[in-house]
Amino acid sequence: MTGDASQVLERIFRSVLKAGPDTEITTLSVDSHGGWDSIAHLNLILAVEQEFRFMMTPEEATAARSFGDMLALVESRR
Amino acid sequence: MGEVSASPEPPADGHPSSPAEWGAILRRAAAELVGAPSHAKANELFGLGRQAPAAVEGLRSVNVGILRNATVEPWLPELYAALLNEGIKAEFSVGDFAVYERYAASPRELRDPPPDIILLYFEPASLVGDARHDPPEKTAESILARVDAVVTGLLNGTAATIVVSNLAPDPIRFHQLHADQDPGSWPQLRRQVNAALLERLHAQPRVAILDLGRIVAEYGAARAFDPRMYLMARNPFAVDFLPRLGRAFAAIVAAVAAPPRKCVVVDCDNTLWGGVLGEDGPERVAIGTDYPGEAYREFQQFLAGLGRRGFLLAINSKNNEDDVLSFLAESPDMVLRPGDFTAHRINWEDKGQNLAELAEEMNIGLDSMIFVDDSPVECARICSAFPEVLVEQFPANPADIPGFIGRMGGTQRLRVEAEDLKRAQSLRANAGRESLKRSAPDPETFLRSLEIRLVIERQNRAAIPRVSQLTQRTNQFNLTTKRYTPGDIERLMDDGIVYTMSMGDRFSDYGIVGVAIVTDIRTHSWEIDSFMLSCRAFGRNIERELLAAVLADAADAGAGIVRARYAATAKNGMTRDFFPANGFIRTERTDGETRFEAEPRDRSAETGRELYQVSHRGH
Repeated sequence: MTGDASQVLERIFRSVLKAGPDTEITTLSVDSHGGWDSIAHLNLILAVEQEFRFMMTPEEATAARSFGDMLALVESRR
Repeated sequence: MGEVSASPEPPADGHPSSPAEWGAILRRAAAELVGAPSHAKANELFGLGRQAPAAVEGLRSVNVGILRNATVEPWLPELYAALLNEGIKAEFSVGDFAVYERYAASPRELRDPPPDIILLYFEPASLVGDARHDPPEKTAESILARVDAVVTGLLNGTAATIVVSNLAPDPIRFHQLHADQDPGSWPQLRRQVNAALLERLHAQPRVAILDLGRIVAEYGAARAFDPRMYLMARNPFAVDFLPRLGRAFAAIVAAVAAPPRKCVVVDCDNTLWGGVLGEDGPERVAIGTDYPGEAYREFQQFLAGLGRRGFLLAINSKNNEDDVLSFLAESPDMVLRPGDFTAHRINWEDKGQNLAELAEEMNIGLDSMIFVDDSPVECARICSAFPEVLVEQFPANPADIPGFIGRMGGTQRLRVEAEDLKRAQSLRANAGRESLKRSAPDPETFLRSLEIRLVIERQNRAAIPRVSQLTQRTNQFNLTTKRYTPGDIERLMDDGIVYTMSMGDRFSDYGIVGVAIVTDIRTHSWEIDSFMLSCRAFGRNIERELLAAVLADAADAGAGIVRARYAATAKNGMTRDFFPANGFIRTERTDGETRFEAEPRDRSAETGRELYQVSHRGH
């Protein structure tokens, strides 16, 4: 895998959450971003799993409630 | 995974400025997803598309409703992208979970006005719940009754085309060995349901089946499903399957909503056969029952099938004409013979020039052609010279031919209309007519010698699919070029009069070749909403008979005036003077549109009686 996981993840978040160029992604969480609803969460999981080629457990998917959580999860599976 | 490549972002200074720019950006982004699927990028594209204006140049806007009992929202980005690749810009309205009946009773709760296309998705596991482990009696019957009622309600309450997805396998598989032996098991009942759905729905022109059973099987059920995701979020499908689902659905929507391609133009060397005829000679060229000749034969069989289903076939080849025609005629292994091709350009001229000439000779637009050639150079040249032509590059390796046949664009049709079959037949009769034309002394005598029979019908409901097809396909002789779905035509028959004109002559029966649609029939002034003639029927002046029928009906109904209009397009210049040449007065001219009116005329004013045998039905 080339590129920095954090950057790739940032791009995924930006695409799925339809965040504008001014939005700071790395500090986003379910509670801080209005667009991060249950469907967006599902889309994030699908996109992250597809891009990084691993599968989360349902528990992991539920627990990943911020950009930091998701990055930690991705790093733990690399 | 690599660096962020050309993602579908608008220009840095904001959004695309023109509708044309929007169209290009959306299409390019969708095309990139074909080779490199990405749920993230599909989401981004979907989000971008929502900011686009409602009407985007080069894209057809279609409203899609989805009724479901599963979480379909994650599919929408892939459906959106696949539809863009078919030239369609979709807007989705998704119904609440599992309340199909509510929307069947009141479709406007889904969208007002109702969508153009409604997809019914039934997740089988959710449909029957625990019953699938031990299906009670009448499980299949009760599912069918439910689907039937929903489809009927939607057909009655909307003009939409209803896409019914049949029952895919369960995301969670269980006691399969037992199920293989037991006709009453859930997997077997599911198959019964699918067979019965097809049986019940196939004759309904406004219903299409999305065969999920087949699509899942082609991809592989083990890969298509994500049981974990189904348990977590009621979404049965794996993310990597979504583009496949999107393509299958988009193909149906395109077949319903977009004008179909009509003609396949093929190269010869390394396309109809392997090798180069002029260099290798007829003995060494590959065509026949051994590999690789078998692969080319398979492609010819595919083309022959398209020909039987109403496609025109034509040759565009750099070769000596005599060599190719005699090889086609004489080779014992050939499937296609010279008579299967409606036209050919076999010469050393530019293929683009040839293509334009072929379009003219066959009386069809370039946008109804598919160009098949093995040369990337020729393909690129046609692509840039004629963007409206669908270019399909034929594989260099004959082993790749089966895959090519499976994905070749433009050849999918939802239904084969009887009219499609007649068209192929009538074009074969063309040769006979042309020779008659040369020997006949004057146009009127020629027309008389054809022994043309015309049947003009009003509100012929059996013809609805064909009428819709003509509105979608007719470009040249079409005064207003309004495109209508079968649902639209039904509605127009309820509110106005839809005329169809069928033609036959001593050589052939052409079926329905003319359509006129009249609205405002309960008012003083009738309006000719649409008026068109198939290119098969050009040059016989029969369009005047159809117009005369409209004017005579208006007189019978006591209308005071008949209004009409000509809306100019790039292709319908031949009809500019149609109304003035037939007694209409110009009342108004605006940019690209001219309005006319005429007084109704009674039947004695009809002129062509001595040239044609005209009969009327339904007035």
